[in-house]
Amino acid sequence: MAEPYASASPLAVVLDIKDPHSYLAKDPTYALADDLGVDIDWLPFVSRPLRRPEPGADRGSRHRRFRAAYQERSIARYAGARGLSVRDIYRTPDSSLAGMGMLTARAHSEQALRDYLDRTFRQYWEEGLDIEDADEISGLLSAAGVGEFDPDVEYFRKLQERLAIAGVFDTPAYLVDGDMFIGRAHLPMIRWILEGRAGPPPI
Amino acid sequence: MSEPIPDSTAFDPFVSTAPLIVYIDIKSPYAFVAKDPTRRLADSLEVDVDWRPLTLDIPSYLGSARLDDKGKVAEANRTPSQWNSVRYAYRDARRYASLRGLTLRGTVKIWDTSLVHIGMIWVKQQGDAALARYLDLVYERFWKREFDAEDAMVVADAVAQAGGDPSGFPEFLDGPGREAHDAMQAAIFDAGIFGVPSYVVDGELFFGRENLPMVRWLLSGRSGPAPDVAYCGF
Repeated sequence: MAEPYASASPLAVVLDIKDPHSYLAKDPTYALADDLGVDIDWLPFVSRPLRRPEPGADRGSRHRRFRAAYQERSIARYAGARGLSVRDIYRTPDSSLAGMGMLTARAHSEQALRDYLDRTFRQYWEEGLDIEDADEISGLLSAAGVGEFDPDVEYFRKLQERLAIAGVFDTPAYLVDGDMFIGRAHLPMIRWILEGRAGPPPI
Repeated sequence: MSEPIPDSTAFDPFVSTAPLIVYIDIKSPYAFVAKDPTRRLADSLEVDVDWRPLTLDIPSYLGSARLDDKGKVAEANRTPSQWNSVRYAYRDARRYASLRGLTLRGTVKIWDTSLVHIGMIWVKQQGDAALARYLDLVYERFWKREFDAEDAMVVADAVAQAGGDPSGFPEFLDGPGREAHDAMQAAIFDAGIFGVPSYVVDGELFFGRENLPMVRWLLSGRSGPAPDVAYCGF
């Protein structure tokens, strides 16, 4: 049974730097928060990486290849429409350090967090940043105005457990009003909920 | 019925005389909640829709499961991540359905929906109005667990209630309808169309109703910036 994640903010947003869908969700989520003037509890989560489709002539293997090929096209299509580029969606780094960096930036300020997210996402997806390199993460934090990177590994581990218990299994996840939505396509619904469910729902 | 047998040899999964092709499966909760927004979008743009059945072979890619009489899992060969995806998919579709006043009860097994889809092929040839009634009827009943999608008599009854001509349908179901359906499904899958709802516009494939803003943008002449994905009303 999922146990809702308790947050002081009306909206918690769960991201993973290595997830292209999180990258594409970041700016529209900023826009929603700024438009409504709501605080966001930004949380890192180490999601399952996208899997490169395996060879095989059986129907299941072919299905997964078709789905993967479509997903790659779809990500490129929507990224391209916003002037973004997404390189190699099948990289499988451990994104824990980048997530701990996110918590460090968050503890500093919202502005530092956004600056860190902007730099880290862009450099990972467009320039091949090594997010397993602590020096790189420290450098990104410094550039965002955060002095020291002293990751709290145990806190991060417990946060992963709490999010999993809350039902988070993929990113970007939005936790609002006791419910969870996965994917930026839900932003109209999240806006409707945050605005007090006034008017007809976006269905 | 003047010409009830579709020409499956001429079938192209990416080509239609209509500007929009929509692939659906009666057993998909996502296709269920996509039906009405898709119809509203097409109506608002006054474009024809070529509704086509895509009979999903779910166990081949998402494992299988069956519930017992109490709704508990009686048999399953799914991984934990497959279960997460399936459970979330139902919960997600259900919350959108309930806001529209629709009932969406979890299914008790993975259905073979080919009979319903052969019925769809049959009714489709009798006009858009009959097809719309048929889809509304079978979707609503199926998701209330009031429709045995594997019972030919039940499907034939739905055809008749939707206003479709039932004479000759049983023969169609077992003969040319089955052949046409199976040939279509092979062609659809070989073309790389793997899920529902899927949309084909200008030869491009879009999977999921979150692409409806993009579908609208394409059908409206691509004016202004391209929209992002969004579940929204039309």
